[in-house]
Amino acid sequence: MKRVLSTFLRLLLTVTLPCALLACGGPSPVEEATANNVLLLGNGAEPKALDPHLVSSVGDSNILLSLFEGLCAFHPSDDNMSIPGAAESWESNEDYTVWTFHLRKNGRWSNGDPVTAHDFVYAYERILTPAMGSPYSSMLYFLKNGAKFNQEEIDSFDEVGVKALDDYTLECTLEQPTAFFPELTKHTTYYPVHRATIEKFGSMTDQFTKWQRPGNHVSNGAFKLKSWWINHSVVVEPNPYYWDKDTVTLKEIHFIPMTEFTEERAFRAEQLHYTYAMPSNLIPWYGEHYPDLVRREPYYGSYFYRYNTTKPPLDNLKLRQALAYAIDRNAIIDNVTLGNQTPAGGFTPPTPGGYQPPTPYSFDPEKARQLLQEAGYADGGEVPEFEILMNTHESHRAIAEAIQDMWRKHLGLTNVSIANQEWKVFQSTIIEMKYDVGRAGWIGDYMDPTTFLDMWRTDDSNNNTGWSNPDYDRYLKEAALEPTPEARLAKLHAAEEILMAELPVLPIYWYTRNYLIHPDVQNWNPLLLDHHNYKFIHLKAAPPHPFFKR
Amino acid sequence: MPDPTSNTLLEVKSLSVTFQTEEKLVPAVRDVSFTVKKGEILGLVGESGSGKTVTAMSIVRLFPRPPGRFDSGEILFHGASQKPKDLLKIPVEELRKIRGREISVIFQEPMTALSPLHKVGDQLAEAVRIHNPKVTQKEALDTAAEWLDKVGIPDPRERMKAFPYQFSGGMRQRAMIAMALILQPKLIIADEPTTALDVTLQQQIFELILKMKQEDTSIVFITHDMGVIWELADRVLVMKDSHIVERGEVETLFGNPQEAYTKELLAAVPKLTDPPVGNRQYPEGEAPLIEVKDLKTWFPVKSGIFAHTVGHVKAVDGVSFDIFKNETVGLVGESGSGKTTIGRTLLGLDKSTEGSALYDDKNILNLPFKEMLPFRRKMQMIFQDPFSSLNPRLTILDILTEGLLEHGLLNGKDRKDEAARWLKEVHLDPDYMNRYPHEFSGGQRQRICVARAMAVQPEFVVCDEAVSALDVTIQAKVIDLLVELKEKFGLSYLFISHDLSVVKRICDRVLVLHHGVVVEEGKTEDVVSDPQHPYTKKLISAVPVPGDKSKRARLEIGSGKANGVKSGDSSLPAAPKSEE
Amino acid sequence: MFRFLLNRLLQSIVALIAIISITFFLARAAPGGPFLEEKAIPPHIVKQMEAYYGLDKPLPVQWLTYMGNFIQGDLGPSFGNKGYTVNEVIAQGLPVSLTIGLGGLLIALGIGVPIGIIAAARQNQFADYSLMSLAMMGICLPTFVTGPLLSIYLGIKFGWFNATGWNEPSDWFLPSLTLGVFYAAYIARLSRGGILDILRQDYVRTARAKGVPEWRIMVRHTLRGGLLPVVIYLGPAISGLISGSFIVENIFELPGLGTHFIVATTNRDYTLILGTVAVYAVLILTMNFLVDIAQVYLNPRLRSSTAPEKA
Repeated sequence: MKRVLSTFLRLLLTVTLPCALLACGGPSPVEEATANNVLLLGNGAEPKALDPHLVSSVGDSNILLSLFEGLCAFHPSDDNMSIPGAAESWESNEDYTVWTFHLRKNGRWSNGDPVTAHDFVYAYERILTPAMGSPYSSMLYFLKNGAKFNQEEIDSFDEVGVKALDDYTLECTLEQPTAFFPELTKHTTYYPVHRATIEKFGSMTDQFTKWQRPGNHVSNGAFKLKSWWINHSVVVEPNPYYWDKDTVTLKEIHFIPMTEFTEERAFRAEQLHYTYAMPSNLIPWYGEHYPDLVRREPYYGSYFYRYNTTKPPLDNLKLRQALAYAIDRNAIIDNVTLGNQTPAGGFTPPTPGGYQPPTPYSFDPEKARQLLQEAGYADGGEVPEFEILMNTHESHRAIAEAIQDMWRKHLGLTNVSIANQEWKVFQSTIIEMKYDVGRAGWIGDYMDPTTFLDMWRTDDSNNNTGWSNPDYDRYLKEAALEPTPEARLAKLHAAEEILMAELPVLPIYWYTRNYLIHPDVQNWNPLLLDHHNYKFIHLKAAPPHPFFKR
Repeated sequence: MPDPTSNTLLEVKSLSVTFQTEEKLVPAVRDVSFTVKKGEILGLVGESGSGKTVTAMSIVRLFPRPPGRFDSGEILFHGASQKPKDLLKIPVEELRKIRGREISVIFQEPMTALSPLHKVGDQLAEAVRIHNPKVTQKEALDTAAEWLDKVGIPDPRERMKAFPYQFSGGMRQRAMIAMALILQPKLIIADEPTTALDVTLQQQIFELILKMKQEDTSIVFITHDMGVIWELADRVLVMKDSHIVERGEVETLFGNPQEAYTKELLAAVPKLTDPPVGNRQYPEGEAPLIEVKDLKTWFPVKSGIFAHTVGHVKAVDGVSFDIFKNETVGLVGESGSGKTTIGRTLLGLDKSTEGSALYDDKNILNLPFKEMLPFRRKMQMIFQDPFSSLNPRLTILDILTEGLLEHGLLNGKDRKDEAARWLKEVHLDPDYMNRYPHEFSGGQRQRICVARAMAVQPEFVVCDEAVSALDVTIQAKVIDLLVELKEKFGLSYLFISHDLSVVKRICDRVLVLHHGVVVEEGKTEDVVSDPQHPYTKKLISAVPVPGDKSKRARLEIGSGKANGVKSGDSSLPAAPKSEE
Repeated sequence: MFRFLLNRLLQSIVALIAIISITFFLARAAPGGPFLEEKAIPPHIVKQMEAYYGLDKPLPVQWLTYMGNFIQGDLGPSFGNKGYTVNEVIAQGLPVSLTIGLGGLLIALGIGVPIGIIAAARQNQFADYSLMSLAMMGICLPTFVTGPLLSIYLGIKFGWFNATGWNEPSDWFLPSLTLGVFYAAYIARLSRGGILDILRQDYVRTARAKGVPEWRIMVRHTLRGGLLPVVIYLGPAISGLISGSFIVENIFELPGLGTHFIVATTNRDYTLILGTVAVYAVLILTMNFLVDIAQVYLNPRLRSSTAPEKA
């Protein structure tokens, strides 16, 4: 018996030990990757597509940023700057309604074909064609008749405000004056697509074709698609025909879908250069012990609650305001979210050197109680029952519980309950307006306050609060026509003041991006929009860091 | 030291064994001493729990559970080696070499004592090869075939490729015996080797054992049946409560038992000459309670990939009889004669193929479930095995009242009263109702089974080998109980048994069953005293009768060694091909 | 035998169709849909997409279409992974899941069975008590505890393995170990119980009386019967290993079916949900089928379905 057992144990050891030794002997994955100029990025969720006309999530657009290049491109360190991309130069008419882009002659697709103005016209036609069903086509509504064509009010794409004047000159005519239009052309929805490739694998509007596959995919950015393993990684490699290929030093970028908890473990095991996010409870620890590894940067996003203004008790403006004053945002940030977020006294996040939103809502329990009285409740206990609804996630629950507690403490509200729903269920509940108070987060698509303010227009599909104000709609429209950027921002400010006065939303904080980054990664700069132009990123082996023990 | 030239084979001196149960230490054997001579059959008799099996198994240090512990004593074995060995002290490895080769064991349970996963031949060959590593598997199988032939298994070369489940009980016991004999040991411990077998089969096994004795093999024969001792043993040890109460030469002891317990044991052996318990009932002129006509129950034999029926096992093949109120009808036959199937068919547990059984003017054979319901209460069954027929997870209270509640004869409030009443009826303490079946002895459990059957107040009870598994003294008491209840409640019994002497005690009329047909029937007294059919005669002559000189005749021949039975001569009748 | 197998095969097919149909309607009954995003997609666009994927047709028609395609082995396009068919997504994920599942099974058996044997051979002795306490701990610890622990200690602290991911040949080990430890504990208990049960059997006593050595009793007379409960348990264990892979694949971020299934569920990727469920169902049904066969092999009594039951 003993002999049999010992034989077995020996067998087990001989099988497993070499595996273990093989794994631990060599350099860590990050060391090896740095040596080979391979960047390993945590990237949140698995991309739904690598077609610029089909994506809508942040993680997906991160990958597209490496593969494609818009007319203008992202500056490595300044969100407000647009650097030449597919276009060498651009200019507009006086009222910013017509923009002319001069494409570079040496622009090439990853298969060697030249990038022409026709590629852009084709791309814009594709995304706006109703049959395409592009989820983010509304970004192109800035173009004249873009909305009408997309909503089948007009049939001919010729009426849409985009035209190739010649192979290398693209003219965009806009619905209304848009000074920040170059900013928009950096967005994934404005990227060109390679017509021949798309039509080789299907018709223009086919969502489901194989053109996005490695080997088929053709792009015009600094990188091209090398491999795509679902729920494992998307790997890109330099585009050999890219016009600025000498700037590119990375040999590969791996975009790896991971949850924040796993990412942190992978980072510690030196399997990732960069984590997309990190567990909030670890932020203070890293901040204290390894501040060089953790980054905490303002992010162009707003965390807030929607109020359902169509049904009691939250149809009561004074009550909504009272609730807003009764929240100690600093306490939430210091004790719950732990990520150096900025308390949001208003809705739109401020832009350094740019738009500054009105921020009327600071913590003021005195005023909150007074407003509660004015709302018609002598005591918080009289406020009828309502519910905070969120999508299922620990961090959302923790915030909701803190807010529930503050309302109880400062206003005496006893009838607030908390409920969570699975993501898709939650979204349909919000859209159908079957909620009282609903959690929300909004990340700006481009550097302009309208990316936040547009959603509160009457009947905007993202409004979902039942709130509507004609003055607000009018101000947004008029802002576009203002002759100077300053005057335009002033008008937007006035609009946001209406929003804050009538308060269909409860601002909580403005986002901060907290993430871990390996010292080997160079030129990774803080960006409010977090859109990194990967051609500027490079890797250099840093001295061994005490944090990585192996 | 015994004289080395003496013919002593084994000496057990002051053996004491204790069992370690979870709660306490239980003495199993206390200060037992005896010797076994060469070529002797030593009977070890006693009821269950008397310590006879533990005593015998101590010789090879094989205990049933729970684990036992030797407190004192020695067991000296005068085996192949010069010096006697103390089997209690030698290392396991040394003992292992003795087991099987010098001392072998025939176990009681032919169903379970053979490994179900290995072919019979392989199991025999294993015994050979373990003790003779140089023997090849083929040679070992040859030896196995030879011994299977000697114990009367026909066509041993083919049959030994079968698995034990493909053997009948008798064949299995023969194989077990062959396995014990195959290395021609000096001592064989036989633990109730025939208790589970039919009487005719028992006789064949006896022949085998006597033949071993002729070859100078000693046998320790364990049994609870004095009749068996009488037919087989030279000397006998009577055990009770873990120690030996009486010992002596068989004829002396039977002729003049000293101890009260020995006398009790002798008296309890059911004999064909016993008077009936209670009064015989011969109803006349009444209408029968149940009228069975031309009953046939056939089981299809399926074969081939689509399992079509290729033939039938005719378990019951045209049986007719009546059962009158307040009458006990016996069904006697060997296993496979169809007696159990008749009982099961009447109760609707098996489907009949043909025939009818009128009960209250209704044919109760193959009734749909709903129509059968009222009859289910009127007809009850008591099974052979009181261990497996009681749900171990129910209390006695639940067991006794389950049927009553099911038939709506009881509301929850009266449960306890009713259970207490029935426990009293079967002479058990009503306080037992909250206990579980495992807390009772076999006899007590069978009383509980009786109480359960009676509680729903049936008219007709099928007793299927209801007392066969019990010790003789307890057997007698349960029979008394059954008769008492029958007279009290005016019941009718169908009493199924392989044991004619038990049937003789309780049954008014008897039917002798052979291969699914009735070969003889009549009043019990008439059938027993003047059997007509040869099969009935054979059954009667096979019943061991203590004190009957003729039954010891073979024994005298065997030990006399004057008889010229040659070693290895297959004097045994071959086992029938199918004993099913 | 053949008849029995045919029977089981038919049962399995019926079960498969039922599972897929139930999943089909359950997935559709869940609120939300594949085209619901945080930044709302305009309704007219959603309509276009629904039309494109055939979701605008009545549900029974969709079901019939799906079943028709399913029978031909076409699991349809994945809604969540544009450009990939469900067949392709599964073809990528299945080898990963099978590798860690099989690894888990081997580890479970490789650890569990010997532990069970040792514990049974040393019943009620120190080795038995300590091994069984260990097994109890293994059963009590859920994979979402052991997984991160193993990842942190063997992956990060000792650096023997990668903490997460599916990149190196040794990456199967930690997930398989996580899966295997739980089932090893269970199998250890089962095999100990099964072996003890057999050791109590009369025929083991017979073998001892024949003079068969203890090791041979264990190997020849005990294991085959004693491990029968383990074999029977393999069916549920394999199902458990497969569903356990949902959690473990998530913990270790493996591109396996479990991850696909979870992502598909959150995305309401109807076709991928159905596809993964179908694959799981086929796997589980097949495994149970094989376990049935193994059972028959191990127990000669079951081999002949022709022997009449004795009355």
